[in-house]
Amino acid sequence: MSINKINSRVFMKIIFYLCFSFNLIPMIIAIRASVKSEIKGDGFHRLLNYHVNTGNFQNKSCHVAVYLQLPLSLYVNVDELADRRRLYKSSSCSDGEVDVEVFAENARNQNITICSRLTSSKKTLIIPVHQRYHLASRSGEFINITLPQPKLLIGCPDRLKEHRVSTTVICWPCSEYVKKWRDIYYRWEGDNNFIWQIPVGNTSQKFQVTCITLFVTSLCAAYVLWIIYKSYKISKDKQSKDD
Amino acid sequence: MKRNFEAAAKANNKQAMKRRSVQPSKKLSLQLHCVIAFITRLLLVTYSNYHDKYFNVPYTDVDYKVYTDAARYITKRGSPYERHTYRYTPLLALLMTPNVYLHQDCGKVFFSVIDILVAKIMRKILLCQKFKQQTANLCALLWLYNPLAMVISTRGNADSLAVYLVLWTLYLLQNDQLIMAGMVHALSIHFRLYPLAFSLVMYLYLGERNLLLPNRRQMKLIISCLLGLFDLTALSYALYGKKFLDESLIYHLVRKDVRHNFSVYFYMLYLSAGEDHSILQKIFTFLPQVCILLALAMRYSSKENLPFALFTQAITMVTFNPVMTSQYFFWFLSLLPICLPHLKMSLTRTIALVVSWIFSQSLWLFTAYLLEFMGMNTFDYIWLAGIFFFTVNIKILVDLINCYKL
Repeated sequence: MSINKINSRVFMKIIFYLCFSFNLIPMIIAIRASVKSEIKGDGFHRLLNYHVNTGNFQNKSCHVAVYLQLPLSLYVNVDELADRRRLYKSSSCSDGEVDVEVFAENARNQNITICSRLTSSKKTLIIPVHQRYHLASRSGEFINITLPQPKLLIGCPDRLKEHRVSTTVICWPCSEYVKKWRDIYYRWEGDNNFIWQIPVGNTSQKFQVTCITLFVTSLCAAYVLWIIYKSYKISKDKQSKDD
Repeated sequence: MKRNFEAAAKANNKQAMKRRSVQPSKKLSLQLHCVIAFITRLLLVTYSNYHDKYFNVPYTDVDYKVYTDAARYITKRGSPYERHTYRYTPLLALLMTPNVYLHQDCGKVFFSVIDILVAKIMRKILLCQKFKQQTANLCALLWLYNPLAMVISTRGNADSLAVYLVLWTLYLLQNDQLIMAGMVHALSIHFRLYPLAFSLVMYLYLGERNLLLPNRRQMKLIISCLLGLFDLTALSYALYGKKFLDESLIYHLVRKDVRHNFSVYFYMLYLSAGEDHSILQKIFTFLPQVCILLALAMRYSSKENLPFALFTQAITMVTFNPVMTSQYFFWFLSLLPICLPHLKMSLTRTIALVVSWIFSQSLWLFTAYLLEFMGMNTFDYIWLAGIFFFTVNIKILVDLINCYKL
């Protein structure tokens, strides 16, 4: 019995030293994070919330960031983000498309980063997101958009050697807060199967809409012209009577 | 006889003294109203900060942020056109620099001051038309306490400045200061393109018996206006280059904004977005507006009719525009008080028209709210509400023409 016990202890020690020498121990004590997303509001303008939980890891000198590429149907307004940064509402930024008026069909990609100091192990990162207009379609049905799973990044002044340095290009000012952002594997707690529905016009009605609109406007314009002529005639008649 | 004359002179003197003592107090009372109206606007500016902080739909105009951002670029020695969607004269961004240096609400206070000046110039225009002081004051008060004017200027919309320039041009024309009128008209066009449509009626107003060739007075107006426009454009171009031309001039001429707005043409243009519009469609979209503008210019170009010509032309431009937002209503509402004394409309009809205008607008706003804030597909309803709003505007225009009596 005792020999078996000694053997198992020796075996455990060997495994421990092996793990340590191959740098596997830190993996065991790595940050165990989880992320959950939530979209607040309806319609064209909504708030995208990411609830990040870093579990046992908490370091006030570190920053946490969420990065994702938005679908072409959605956009963030760079000037609105600048405004929020100025008012210390949040630190978020974007790369790529800046045109807020362009249709989704003609828009370029837009990558967004929302970052914040890791003041507690539970952080909520918020960014206002808007939907783009889509060209009208033949069916006129809603266009369904789902948001991709984001990347979670943490950056600290000290080295977090258990997590590899991220190759993701982070936008300013998040890129300035820390020198190296590191990719964090996390448990995705989902977004409650969220689907962003975008209403579009129905092109099958185009002929009727065009005809009725132009008929009404032309008819009204003719009526106004007739009234102007009538008022002119009345004043002329009055003038001739006065004369 | 001599005694009688002296007595009469004394009585006259007494009356004159009385008039003198009455006039300043009347003037003072209008000034007091100006102060009250200004304080009300200041309170609204203060409230706007509270509202923006606690409500989802902000009080402050989106464009105010655009001007302020553009001003911020100027303070950093950059171009105001670095701010995406800044499509105005660089002068506006320059005027908004106190927002960056002093306080964010400086611009709103500035527009409120301009609002008060609008009321004052309205009064002057009416006095020029030989209206009684009481009538002129009443019309000025209508502007001072107009809730729409109060809200628009305190939201930080720059259109109060645009309408002031239009009214100033009108005042100068009425006083025969033609060179100055031309220059202010140039500034007005440089500031906002829409007063360009008033040019023809202003030109015709100065006509005598000449039909084709312009007379001396018309030449004064044309040359000073063109020179003013050239100077302002050249100065802005020298400062900010082609970007200025693209954003503040060319964009407005070729604008194709097919996102939901009050315009009757919105849904038609949206459905054909991304395609080339047929010539026939283009003709039917622009010809009605051009015809009415020309007809109004010919019909109301005489001296007494000029304010009404501008008023009805502004209504036509807004009603038939392919893009219409609520700030455009300011263009014609600012000209309404100076036409009011000539409008012989019954109270019932006035109330009916005002109620129908508000109701049709509210109906459109409700359908647009369902689309924009509730995510519902209400494009059909927006289109129908747009047509209804358009017909109400036409009915108002027709009734105004019918009730206009000199």
